[in-house]
Amino acid sequence: MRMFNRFKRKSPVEIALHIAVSALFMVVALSYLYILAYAIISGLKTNSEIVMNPFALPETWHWENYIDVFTLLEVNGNNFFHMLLNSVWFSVAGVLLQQFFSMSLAYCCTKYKFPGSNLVYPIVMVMITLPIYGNSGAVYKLYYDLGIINSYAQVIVNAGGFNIFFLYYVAFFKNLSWTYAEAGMMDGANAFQIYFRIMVPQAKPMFGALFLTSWIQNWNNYENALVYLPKLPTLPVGIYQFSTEMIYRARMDILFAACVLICIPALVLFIAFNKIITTNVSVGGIKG
Amino acid sequence: MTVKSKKKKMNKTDALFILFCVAIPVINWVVFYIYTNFSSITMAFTDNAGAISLDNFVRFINEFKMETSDIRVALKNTLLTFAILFVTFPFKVLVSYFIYKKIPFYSFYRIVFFIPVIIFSVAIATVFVQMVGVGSPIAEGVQKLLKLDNVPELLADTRFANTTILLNLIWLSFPGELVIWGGAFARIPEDVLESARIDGVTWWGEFTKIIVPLVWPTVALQMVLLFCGIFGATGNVFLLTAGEYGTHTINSWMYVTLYRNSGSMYTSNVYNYMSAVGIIITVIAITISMLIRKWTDKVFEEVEY
Repeated sequence: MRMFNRFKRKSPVEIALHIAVSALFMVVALSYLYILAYAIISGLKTNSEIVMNPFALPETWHWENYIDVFTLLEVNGNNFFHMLLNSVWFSVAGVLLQQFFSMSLAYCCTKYKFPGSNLVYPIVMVMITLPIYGNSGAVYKLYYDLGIINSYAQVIVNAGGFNIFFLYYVAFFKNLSWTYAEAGMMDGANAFQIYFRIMVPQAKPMFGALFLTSWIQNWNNYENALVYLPKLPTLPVGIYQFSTEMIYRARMDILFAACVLICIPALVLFIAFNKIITTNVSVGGIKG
Repeated sequence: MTVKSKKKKMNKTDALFILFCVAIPVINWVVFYIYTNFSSITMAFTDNAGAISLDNFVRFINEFKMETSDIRVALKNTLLTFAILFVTFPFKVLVSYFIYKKIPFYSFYRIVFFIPVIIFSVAIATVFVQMVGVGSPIAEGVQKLLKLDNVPELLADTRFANTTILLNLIWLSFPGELVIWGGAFARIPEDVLESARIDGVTWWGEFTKIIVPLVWPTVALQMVLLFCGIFGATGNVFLLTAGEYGTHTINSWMYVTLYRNSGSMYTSNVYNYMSAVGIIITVIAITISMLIRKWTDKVFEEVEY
């Protein structure tokens, strides 16, 4: 059927329409690629070239800028490697906690019955569809009182499960066969063994897709870190601070090179796992 | 199978396992969601001296009456941004539709259209600032078009800054929610479309009479989410202008307020004021979402996850 569908004839109107739409899409797509190209090339120029001739190609290609980033991108005593460490800690550890607890909560609420097991889903649904505005001041005060502003311990905030990922995992576990678990029970496996040895391995693709999606968001996120972790800058925060401090304005080349470097991991992972991310996450009509 | 598992008798290990899965998320939710929202409500009714009062609400009403106040400008820009998101919503569905229909180069678009989401927003903003800067063809084009004496600073001029931010939003959000719509279209059985083809349905007929009804639960849910997030509607204000030149939205105003006052949170009243503004718009947003839910009544039952 699929083969037939692919080769079926389209009406001339439809062909013309598809070509016109594709031309429009191409303009937009090229404009997005232009952002990347602009940043990469600007990272190879000198600062004065960027200021004087922002749209020209560099006279000589300064590949060393991409090395100098490691020493010159420094904000408030934090160098590139400090920022990298902070970024990796908060994005990897934070998202692992977030995904693990979302998955465990979803599994537990789907497969076990206990007081309140039916309440989590509607609560999460309400939380997602009814955003509460203006509570960030209260959040800041709480973090401050807990002593987790500028602290590596701030990752604990991620150790929750009342979030959109919970809904994805619920959908996943609802459709997952219980047969293997029953076989496990026959063999005397307990609830922990069933979860970690039988269920978690089956959930790996889903976990991987959601982990990657969430990791890319966290890796790029500067908004939260800028407010709650100003003294433990992640790379996005460092680059933002670098771009705003006038004293560094004279090194736009380094700014662009840093921007390019920070994009590489997310781009590479996205291109490599594009299929997994876009097929596994599209379980339902919920906003990702 | 789920039913079976739920009926089985619970032993000690099961109880321990449930505790293991549930305890931390619930504590996290109580502390970081319930407590903070409760605390935000009490903050809204607290004045500078720490006493219970309605000062913050009075201040909101007074500022709202002033045409040039940050909050008035922010509300106006937020609604404008929302209007743009609302109007462009169907076009974004069409983008995914055409990719689903495999127009020429569709697999290329399916990757490149993720660039605005994947690439670090500070990088995009920095490039965009250059693209519309004084030396750029865009700024010079605007000068020629409007016959201005000088090349305009599109992001540092009250006449242009807001429009520039909105155009930036339209440009970057052009692809829409590719994952969600791609997933919704992928679930449409191909033989349904095939038999419609045989009956001679045009592409527009196919889109409006077959595809949209089939993905209607997704459409409805997305509309509900769009309307519920009405006061969160914003372009990239913080990075492009930091709210200067009359560009604040509610979202950017709150973020800038949070960011700039974190050092003085116990001495200034500004976080309390922000909570009060938050309560007012949350109440309005809840009312709107109730009305929308009536309209898309059964959406939550119909959507299958």
